[in-house]
Amino acid sequence: MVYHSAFTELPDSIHASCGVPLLPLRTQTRGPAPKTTDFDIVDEAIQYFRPNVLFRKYAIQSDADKLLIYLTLYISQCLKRLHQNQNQASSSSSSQQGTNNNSKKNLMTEGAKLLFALAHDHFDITTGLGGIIDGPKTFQEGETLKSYLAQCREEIGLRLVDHLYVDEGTKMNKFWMAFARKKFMNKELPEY
Amino acid sequence: MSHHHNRPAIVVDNGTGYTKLGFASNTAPSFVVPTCVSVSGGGVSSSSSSVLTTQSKKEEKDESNFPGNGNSKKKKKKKAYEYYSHHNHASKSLQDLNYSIGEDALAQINSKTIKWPISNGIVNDWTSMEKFWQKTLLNVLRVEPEEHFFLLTEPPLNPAENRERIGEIMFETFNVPGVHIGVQAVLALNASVALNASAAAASSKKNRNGDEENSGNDTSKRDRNDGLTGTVIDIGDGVTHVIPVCDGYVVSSAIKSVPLAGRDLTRFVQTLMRERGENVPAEEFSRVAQKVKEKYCYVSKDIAKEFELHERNPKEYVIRMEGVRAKTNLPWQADVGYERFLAPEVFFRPDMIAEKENGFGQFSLPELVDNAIQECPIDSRRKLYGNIVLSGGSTMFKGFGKRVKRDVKRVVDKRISESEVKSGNRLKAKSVDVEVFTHDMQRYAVWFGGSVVASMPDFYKSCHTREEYFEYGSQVMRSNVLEKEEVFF
Repeated sequence: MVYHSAFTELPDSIHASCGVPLLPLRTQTRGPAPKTTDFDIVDEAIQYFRPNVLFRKYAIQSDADKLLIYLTLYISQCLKRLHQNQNQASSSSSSQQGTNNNSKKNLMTEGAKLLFALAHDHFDITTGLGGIIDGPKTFQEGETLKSYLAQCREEIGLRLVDHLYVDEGTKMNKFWMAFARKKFMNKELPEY
Repeated sequence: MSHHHNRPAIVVDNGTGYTKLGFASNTAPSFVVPTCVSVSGGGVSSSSSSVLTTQSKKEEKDESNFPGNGNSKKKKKKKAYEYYSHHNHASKSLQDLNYSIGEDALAQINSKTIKWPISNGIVNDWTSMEKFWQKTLLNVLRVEPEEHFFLLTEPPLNPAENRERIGEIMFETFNVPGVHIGVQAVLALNASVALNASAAAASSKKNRNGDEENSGNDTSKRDRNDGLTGTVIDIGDGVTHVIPVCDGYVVSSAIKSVPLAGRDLTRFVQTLMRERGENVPAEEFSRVAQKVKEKYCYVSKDIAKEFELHERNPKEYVIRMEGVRAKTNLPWQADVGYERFLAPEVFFRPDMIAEKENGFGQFSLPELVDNAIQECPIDSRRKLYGNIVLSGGSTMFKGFGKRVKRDVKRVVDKRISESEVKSGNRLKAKSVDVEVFTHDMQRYAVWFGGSVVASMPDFYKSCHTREEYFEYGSQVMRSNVLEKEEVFF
């Protein structure tokens, strides 16, 4: 079984842009998302990321699933970015062994910075998704979705780092990083 | 001939990965040997080997004149096939005697060619198979083949020609007094019947203290005659079979067979560990992966929850493996994590293994079970659902039976409710009981079933005998003795 979003029955107060519902988020970040204090779609995306990313087939059952797919693909992108960064770091730090006690501590904060930057990097809402998200009918609609997704992306970065580092942020969690090269539904978000 | 009856029959179950052999009426096989043969001449240059192969081909033609050969056309085809299997080793000469089998053969993996005579459950290299039998009977089991009856096993849908070949080798090379060839699935059912009978006896003594397992109470109620109707899920090393058996006969049109089994799970474990960068020496990786599969894997109810458990409580779920590199004597360490539950999950979600996507089809194991049963006679279906029997090493995962039961039940219930809706809710179906029977003998269920059958007094009547073979030729092997006369069960 693949895991589908549980946010299938939505109250009327929730708007949708380009077929994607703007679900409430448990967040302090700024953006158009309604606020909540409960389990939200970002939790769901992180929880279901590892089981879902293994499978190539995923039948969309609700509009919330579209958001779940986008967030899953974004988590993949995060892992990939951190993986690249880790490789660069290890190749440069191997030359200066022994002095990296301090830099080791910074791994988690460094990762958090990287993911924040990635969240607010330029991105497009439709390319690379194979038509899962409808094209915007008006400029305004596209902009709303974009700022909502940016908010999700930032929130994912904030919560993901708790999972990605072990030993008080000095080491990457290999049980997560191994998923960096998996391609959910054989798709990838484009890099800019 | 009667003196043979004093000696126990020998039960040999040849599997793709391992051959199980031992004596009838024992509870476990005496030896379990990897079904492989190492032959010298792996390093022969291509020019000389081509000469050798034409030679051996000639010899084969001469050889094919011995009595009792069936259809000559078929023979030729088979010879052409063997031409390839001969490709790498010398013709009959002293060098031919220099080979080893099983673990000894595997130890020579660097210097010799290793052959696996069985692929996907079916023997396709008879020369190697004969060599393998020779060593296993004479050097491993240390018996005089001419003094014992034999029970050999065959996969469902085994070509009749293969049965003839077994006869040729057994009677002409080993001069055995009699051979019975049992279908693996039926033997597995026999095993569960025998275990049921003893379990029922034990539980009536115990007076049922609590319900130990879901299946425990129900299965013990079944009587002996019900036992030979059931669905066998046989997962070996090379192939997975779902085989419905009605009253002791295999419903061959409904068999589902899929080339995804233990070996693929080992490979999957290996891929997962390698992708995570576990520091296992390359030359030991497949062995380590196999150990992980056999010792640490289990079936989870819900993989998302299982991932969380592993993350929250790594001390309890992550297993550290240690070892020493063979060449450098340096120690290595590796962690075993989510592959513990992901590997067996492949049976329930085959699209996890990308390259097998087309091979397995889109069906999971529970769906295959359901499809197989749906193709059986309608009056036997409830019995088939109610007696699903597991067999083979790759069904030994903890929780496997419960998961199969739950998922098959889901598939059935879904179909029933759909058809109820279609009928406009006017018809209500009686719900179907799904029971999966698990037992301690699962790993060697086929062998154990063979042991049970071969220890019955009627067993000797159900054998093809040497006299019969030399009287009528190898085609006697084609027929199942069960079809000829009513024997046991």
